[in-house]
Amino acid sequence: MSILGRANRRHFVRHPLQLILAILGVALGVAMVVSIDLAAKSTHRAFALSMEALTGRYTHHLTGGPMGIPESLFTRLRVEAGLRETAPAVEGYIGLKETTCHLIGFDVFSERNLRSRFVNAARGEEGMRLLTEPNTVLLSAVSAQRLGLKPGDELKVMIDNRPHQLILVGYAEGSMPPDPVLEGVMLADITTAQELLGRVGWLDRIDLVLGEDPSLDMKINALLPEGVELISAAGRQSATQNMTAAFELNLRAMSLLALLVGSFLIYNTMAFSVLQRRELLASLRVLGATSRQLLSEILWEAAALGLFGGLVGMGFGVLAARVLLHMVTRTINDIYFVLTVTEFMMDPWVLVYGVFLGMIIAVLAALGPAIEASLTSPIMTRARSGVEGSARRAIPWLAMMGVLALLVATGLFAVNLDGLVPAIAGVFLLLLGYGLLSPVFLLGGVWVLGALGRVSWGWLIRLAVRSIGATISRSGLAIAALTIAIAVSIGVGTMIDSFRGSIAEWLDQILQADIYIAMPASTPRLSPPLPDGLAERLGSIPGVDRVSSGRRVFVSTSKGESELLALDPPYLDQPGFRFKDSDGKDLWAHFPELRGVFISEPYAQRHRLAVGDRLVIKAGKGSVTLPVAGIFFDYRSDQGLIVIHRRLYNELWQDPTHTSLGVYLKPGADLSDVRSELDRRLSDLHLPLSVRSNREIRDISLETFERTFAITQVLRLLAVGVAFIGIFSALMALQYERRREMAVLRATGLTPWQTGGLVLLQTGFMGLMAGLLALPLGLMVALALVRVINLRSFGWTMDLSISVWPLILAVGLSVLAALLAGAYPARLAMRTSPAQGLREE
Amino acid sequence: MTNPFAELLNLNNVSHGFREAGAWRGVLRGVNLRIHSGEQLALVGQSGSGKSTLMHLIGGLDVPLSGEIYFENTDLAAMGEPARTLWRRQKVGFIYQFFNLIPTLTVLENVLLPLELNGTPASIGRQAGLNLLDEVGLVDRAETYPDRLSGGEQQRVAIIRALIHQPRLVLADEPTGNLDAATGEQVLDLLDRLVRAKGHTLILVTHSAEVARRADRIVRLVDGQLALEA
Ligand SMILES: Nc1ncnc2c1ncn2[C@@H]1O[C@H](COP(=O)(O)OP(=O)(O)OP(=O)(O)O)[C@@H](O)[C@H]1O
Ligand SMILES: [Mg+2]
Repeated sequence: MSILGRANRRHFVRHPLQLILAILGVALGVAMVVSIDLAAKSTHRAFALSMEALTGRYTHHLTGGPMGIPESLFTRLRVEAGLRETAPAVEGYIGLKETTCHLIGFDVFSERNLRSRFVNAARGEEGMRLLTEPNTVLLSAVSAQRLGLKPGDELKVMIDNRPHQLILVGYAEGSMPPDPVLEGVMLADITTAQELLGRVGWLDRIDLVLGEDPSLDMKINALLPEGVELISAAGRQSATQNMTAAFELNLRAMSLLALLVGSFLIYNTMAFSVLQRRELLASLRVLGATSRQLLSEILWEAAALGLFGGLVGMGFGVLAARVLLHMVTRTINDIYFVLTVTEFMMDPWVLVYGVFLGMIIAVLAALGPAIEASLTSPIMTRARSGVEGSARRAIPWLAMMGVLALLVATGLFAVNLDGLVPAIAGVFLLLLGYGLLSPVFLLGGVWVLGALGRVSWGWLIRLAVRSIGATISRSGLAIAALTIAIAVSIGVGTMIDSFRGSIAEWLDQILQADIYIAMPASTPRLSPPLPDGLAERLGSIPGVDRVSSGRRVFVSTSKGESELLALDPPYLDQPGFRFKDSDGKDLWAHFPELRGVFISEPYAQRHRLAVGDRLVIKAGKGSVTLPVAGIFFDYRSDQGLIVIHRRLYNELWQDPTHTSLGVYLKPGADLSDVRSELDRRLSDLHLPLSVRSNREIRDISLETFERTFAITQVLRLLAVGVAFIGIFSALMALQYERRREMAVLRATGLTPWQTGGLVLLQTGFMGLMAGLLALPLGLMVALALVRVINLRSFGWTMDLSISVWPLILAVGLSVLAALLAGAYPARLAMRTSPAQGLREE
Repeated sequence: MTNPFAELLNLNNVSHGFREAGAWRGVLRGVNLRIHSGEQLALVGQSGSGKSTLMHLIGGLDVPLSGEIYFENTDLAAMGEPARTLWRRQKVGFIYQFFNLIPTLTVLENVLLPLELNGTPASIGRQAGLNLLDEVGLVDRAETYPDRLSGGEQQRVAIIRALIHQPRLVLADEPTGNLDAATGEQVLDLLDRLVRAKGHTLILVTHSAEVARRADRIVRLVDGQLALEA
């Protein structure tokens, strides 16, 4: 290595802490991006694999109908349409040990003739055993191995909260090697599955392989009962993938945020490492090192730091990704559907990209300071005040850029551009713009405190505060970083609080009945109907006022397959929904006569529907066109749902079954009395009914909510952690530079404690400034998240609710983080020997 | 060998100043000076009179606001920054009041740095460096870092570093200002010996009349202009 290189390199050897912080800064930034990306990619693949296991290699599927597909259709397709390549399936989810398996009931004979995923199982001996022995199943070899199961074992499973005993007779792969695609898949003969899932006589799907013959489509369509639809495999896959698109986009936004905070940290560390070496660089310039030599030295060094930090970050990232994956999978399982594949996927590209990102950002971050350091004349570079002078001169420009960024951000929010990308860009510009403005605010704060200090405060405070202003090039950066991190934390926190508040309020409104009864859904799409006459049986329980019913089905509409809920609310004076642009009293009062639909906000948002628009629904008796009568706020699904009155449903579908019942108590009736009587009457039915009070449902829903946002909370903490390291390294750098000043102060008579206090006063003030500055920004971020980002990604409007305590806490956290970051530098300052400090020059 | 009577430096009506708090303050107001190759010049003047400023201009660290500085008939200002840097590292050696050794390099590495910058591999210059260090009695400290050396020792290293690449011009700005009289004397003797032995041209800034008297010629900066001392 050249001597010139050594001169620079050894700067880090002499300041190992700076080196560690620089690498850690890059590493954390890269780790955040890599882990989120890996988790997202793994989920995506898990998703694709789960889909593939489901759909096999068929070209088309038949699905739909309130109850699914009648079994007879399968025979008719074979006999009347002459279709050979057809396979029926029933599916559901069952609990096995601590995992959830995807139970697929398939027809061994049909499957044998098709090149499907299950052909090996169907052709083997184990396929025959499925047919001939009751309660026999096959399990994916991967899952069996994971759960420590082998053929011949008895499986204790839970289906609809009821225990069952099954016998494992082989692997879903047959005699072939384990196939990761089949992870979580359990196969049974179709009759076995129908019995287990309570679906005798019904199918969920018929898979088909259709040739190019267009007349075939017509022939099939002619056979289909209303509600059952022929869709292509590709169409089905993309429909389901759309479902998670918003979720994935949100994850991606998180990783972008991580990148922003991470690059800030990298910029911080690189800028400091260059600024700290200004004297060294100046000396080298005097000796004749060219600007270009120094520039390339620093940039290479940045690249090396970036590479090293990137590699370390990659390691962290992979570790963190496993934890994140777990959380992401759980979120998806909670809000979308069960992902049976949980395998972690290592995407080498993400790693390469992460490391590159670290390098590129490190180089870009170092570029500014490196250019400045290498271009200023050797004499100017030597003067500390020169740096601060140019930093101060830069402040108005930075502030102008900041204002510009804020204006563009406001514009992006105001002009209601489609999609999430402009909204996310808006949030970033907001953060960036505010960050650029923060030195101005900081100087303002210093000025105010300085003015106050003249009145009553001690000289120590004045000294502390003034030197922040004097070292604006460092302190400004550190404060901007901390401000942004705290603001993001406030913003995300407020968003989650607002969301939780809106959901709680919404739950209170929709959960009007006291007790709800439903069959637990073993399949994602179908809620099994409740037995006939149940409503009447429950209505006669003493203390029960009314029993209302609900029917949940999936129907085909002009906007694609949609969830439809038919309700007959017993009380019409109290709207069961909160309607958009209307208090809903009138709408609700005339609900029973309504020949129209209410749609949820996400549904309206997704399909661009407004009140008065028309929706074509394929009903039992043919298609009907219904107007949208109202749009209501609803948070249960980001796919949205359609609500009609039970009367209209009965008229259109002639389907008398219920999927849920709501029991309303008489005023003064005792909930636990009614509930025990209800339990007694239901126990005769020997059905796995789920009976829950509205309180329980509320609690479960909120719990699910918390789980969904667990990942967000973790990332929020990470952002603060990263900022903490940023401010710590900034303070270390400052302290290092000021050791001479400290030595002079010590020599002049400051006690060690006063010296330490000075440092802590300074850092505490910086933390306070950052915390206070973060308040308005945090609220702006919250507003953007609530009003723009969430609305656009999920279609959910929520009320912004701001509570004071979290804000105070955030400021406290900021001060605490700054004080903690200042503790070590303060200790160093206390131990500075005046002699040593003065000597080093 | 260069013609000892050739003109090395020619300062023609050089003016310079600084802007401070928005106002211009002139420091040098039309400085004229000719220096011959091999000459030893002492530059004196009150504190704040602009001696260091002038040295910076001569060394090409800065460019005058007006006037020209010719080094062997080349105008430094016309060179452009990169070329000036290359010129500086070949032709000029600097010595400062504060020793300005690179704290992250060992004594030997500090000495070899100018050679390396000029394209001589350290392995080749190494012996020369060690010889010079030996000459000043510091060869056993070659692998030490500068902050372990005393002020006098550091300054001796700085002198070697300023001379190792055989510069035409050596600029010394109060090289003894930071040292006690005896040590200062030793350092000056060393500088004198090395400069004279190689025929370098030297400009030396000093506050001490005694030191100045060693030079061939003494010039004084007064009110931004040079006056010859008797
Ligand atoms: N970068 C600068 N910005 C503003 N003023 C400067 C700058 N450098 C020097 N000066 C001013 O120029 C004048 C000359 O400074 P210079 O350092 O050349 O003086 P000097 O003769 O070397 O003094 P001393 O003997 O104390 O070293 C001084 O008044 C100084 O304040
Ligand atoms: Mg001077």
